[in-house]
Amino acid sequence: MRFALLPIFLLGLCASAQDEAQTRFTAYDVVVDAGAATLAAYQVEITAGPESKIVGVEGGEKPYADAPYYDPAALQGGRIILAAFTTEPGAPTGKVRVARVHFQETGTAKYTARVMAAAAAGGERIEAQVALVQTGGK
Amino acid sequence: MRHGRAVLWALLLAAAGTLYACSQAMVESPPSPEASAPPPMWVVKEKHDLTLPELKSAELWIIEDYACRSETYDEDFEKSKGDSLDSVSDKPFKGLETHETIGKGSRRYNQEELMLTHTGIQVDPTSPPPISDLPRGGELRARQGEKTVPLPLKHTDVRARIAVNLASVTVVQQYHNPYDGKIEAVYVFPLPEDAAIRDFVMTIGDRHIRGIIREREEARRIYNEARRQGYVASLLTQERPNIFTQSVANIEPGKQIDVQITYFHSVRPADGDYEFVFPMVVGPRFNPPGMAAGVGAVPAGETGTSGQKTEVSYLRPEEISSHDISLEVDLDAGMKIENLSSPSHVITVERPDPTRAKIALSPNDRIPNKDFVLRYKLAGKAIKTAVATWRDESGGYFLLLLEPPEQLSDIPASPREMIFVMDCSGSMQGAPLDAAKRALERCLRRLGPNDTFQVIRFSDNASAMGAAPVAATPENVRAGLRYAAGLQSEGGTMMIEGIKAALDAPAAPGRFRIVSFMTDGYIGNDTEILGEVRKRIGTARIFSFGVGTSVNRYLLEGMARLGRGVAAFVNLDESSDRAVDGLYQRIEHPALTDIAVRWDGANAADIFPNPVPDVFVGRPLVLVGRVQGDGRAKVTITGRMAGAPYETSLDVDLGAAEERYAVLAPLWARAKIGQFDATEDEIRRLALQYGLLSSYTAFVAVDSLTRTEGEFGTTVPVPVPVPAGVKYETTVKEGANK
Repeated sequence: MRFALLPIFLLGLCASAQDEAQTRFTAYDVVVDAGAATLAAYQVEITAGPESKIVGVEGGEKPYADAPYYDPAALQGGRIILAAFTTEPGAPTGKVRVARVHFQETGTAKYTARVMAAAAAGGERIEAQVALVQTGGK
Repeated sequence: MRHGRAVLWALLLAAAGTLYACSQAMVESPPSPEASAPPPMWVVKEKHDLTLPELKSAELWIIEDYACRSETYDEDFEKSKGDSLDSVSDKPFKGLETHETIGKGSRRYNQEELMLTHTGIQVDPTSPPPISDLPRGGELRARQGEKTVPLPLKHTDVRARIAVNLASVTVVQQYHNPYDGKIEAVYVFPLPEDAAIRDFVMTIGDRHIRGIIREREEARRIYNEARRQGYVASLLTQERPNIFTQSVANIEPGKQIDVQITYFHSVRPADGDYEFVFPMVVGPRFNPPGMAAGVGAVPAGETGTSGQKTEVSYLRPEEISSHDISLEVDLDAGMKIENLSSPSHVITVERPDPTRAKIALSPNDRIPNKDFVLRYKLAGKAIKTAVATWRDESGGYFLLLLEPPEQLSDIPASPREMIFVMDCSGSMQGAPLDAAKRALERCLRRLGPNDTFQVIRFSDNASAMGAAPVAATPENVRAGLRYAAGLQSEGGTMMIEGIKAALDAPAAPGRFRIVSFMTDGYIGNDTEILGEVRKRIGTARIFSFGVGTSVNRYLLEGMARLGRGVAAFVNLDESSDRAVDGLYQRIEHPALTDIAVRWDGANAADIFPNPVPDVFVGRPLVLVGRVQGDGRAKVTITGRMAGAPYETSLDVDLGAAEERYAVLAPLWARAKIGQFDATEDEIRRLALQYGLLSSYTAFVAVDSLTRTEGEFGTTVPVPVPVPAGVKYETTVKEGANK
């Protein structure tokens, strides 16, 4: 009887290994480049394909170390809108790692990101770029 | 930036204000029993001479394990045996309210641990009353053989901010791994039944990962896969509107993972007071035979033996938890605060100014085994009819607080048929049944000459004092009191039997039937019971009493809503007079009925609760709804009062929404989800849209950077103490897996 169950057990192991190969967890840093301007607030949209699910949103470097908030109404599939701001003096300039997004991937995932809004310390709107940099689960 | 994004900023600001600070574990280690401890179950630990106003040379004896109450009183202390200390706090013993000033150091002694006696009255410490007759607080016990159980949940820190009547509460649960191997911690815990839970953050070291709201099954699949692959992950699910499960996977030995939950709710005004409640423990539920979707109560270490979908593990009487709790409330009432008190806990209070207060649990009252209750009264005629509004990209929202019309208390009510239904199940044994009996006794003594009444008891089955309600003659009331005094508790909680007995009997013509359940509500089939109430309620009204320190408020409030009445709560540490008198104040006068809300200059819809409940004396009504419009509008509330029309109105500026009312959007969604007729699709859609935890949605967080070695380890349920006053022996089934 025990031996009769062995193929089922082995099949289970194979299935498990296959699942893991197909399902993996990874993270991408969200880096906003504000150029010479100070980055006091941002709002970024990240979109992933159906092979990817967002499973967590983490903070970045100071002053954006707290996990940013997201708009639940905009959270559909792999799309998320993140936003955060700082009132601390000396808001950063240049490239700032503002957040990290954790994903569950089940295939070849593709991501896009865009800055919806960014503001300097005085509240004036600034031009900024955003990039996603894979940081985990490579 | 779009106006709607202000919601995000508002949330950011709210979060910034609810700063989380790690707290020290404050519970004292129980003193080791003396090596030469005598065989009796208790010993006198300390003795203090007290000088209190009007009471000279009193003695306070601190008794290890529990206290012997004085049975002899003088003319200044006219209380009966069994009265609690709080109930005499307006007597010469007022000085005892601050226990710390009496005991050595800063320990807090429960009233059960105090013995008070005048000089010259000898109390023999070798002949205590039977332990089974005493409430079981469980705090600071130090019995021989008692052991502290290391748990994966180390500490809970609660920070509440209350602005007028809206509360924002942040709960941080600190999990750690005190064992040698990797674990998954699973903790079943309560939150208020109307809480709009909309934020969830997992903290690993100095990294904070905000959880994502997902459909429940999808979230579970993600969590299970992360757990299987060794990633640190957490999952928050809802089992009942007031019971939740937190799972944290892959906690390595010596590591700590914090989970932060944020929710909003409105603080309800009742009988002139506002009452903020934070529940701390899920009481042991009874599940009817054949049920599998209930909430099981199992001994620690016997997980899976209840056969129920959700299980709560309970510490045995000889075990104490290493888990403790700290709690702070920052109250900004906007007007002068009066009569701030907690009937449940010892608190410290700071008053930065007359309109604000900072309340904290006393450092030595931190065992999470009973609801924290904070009451406060505002100066003057503080509860006024008012409207608050908010608008974002999802639309407009309002909250209406309707003060009971003053005229209500001037109108006499019709003859009543009072049906009192006593829960005599095992969980009520001891202090809860005693408290329920005291409440029943006061109810019977307050019956009017035109009333009829019936007393029904239920546990495994139901029986009644008589075949039918009888007139409230002095003789019948005495018979009722004798019947109440003889009630015993044992067996299961077949509440359906009590409901059938109370609601199925034909109503007496010309009488207003009022059904009053007196119960802790410890059942696992809440949905079934609420369905039965809905089916059988007819024209009766339900005005129930939740009795105990950790009552199932979801059930009691739900029954009151379906029964178009009101629930009141009787804590074991306070007199039931307040709750009973509140009931009679309400039922001795007619309600404001057929309430409708009309907006001129704006369009309102989706007003909840639906149908709008009646308004009773002492119980203001809180409604939430959607509103379209952006200028000045007029709100008119109409209704009927003893058959006569009633109308009041007020002006509202929809363009003047304040940022603090941003919580109205999730509160409205939570209210809609909480409707008894909300469909699964509707709940799922709303919960996802507003980011709310619900029966069909869950929060999941995965740290894809922290992958641990090996299998996911052992699942460790977090055992909890049975609620203060509840007996383990009559509520938790031992040995089911033996």
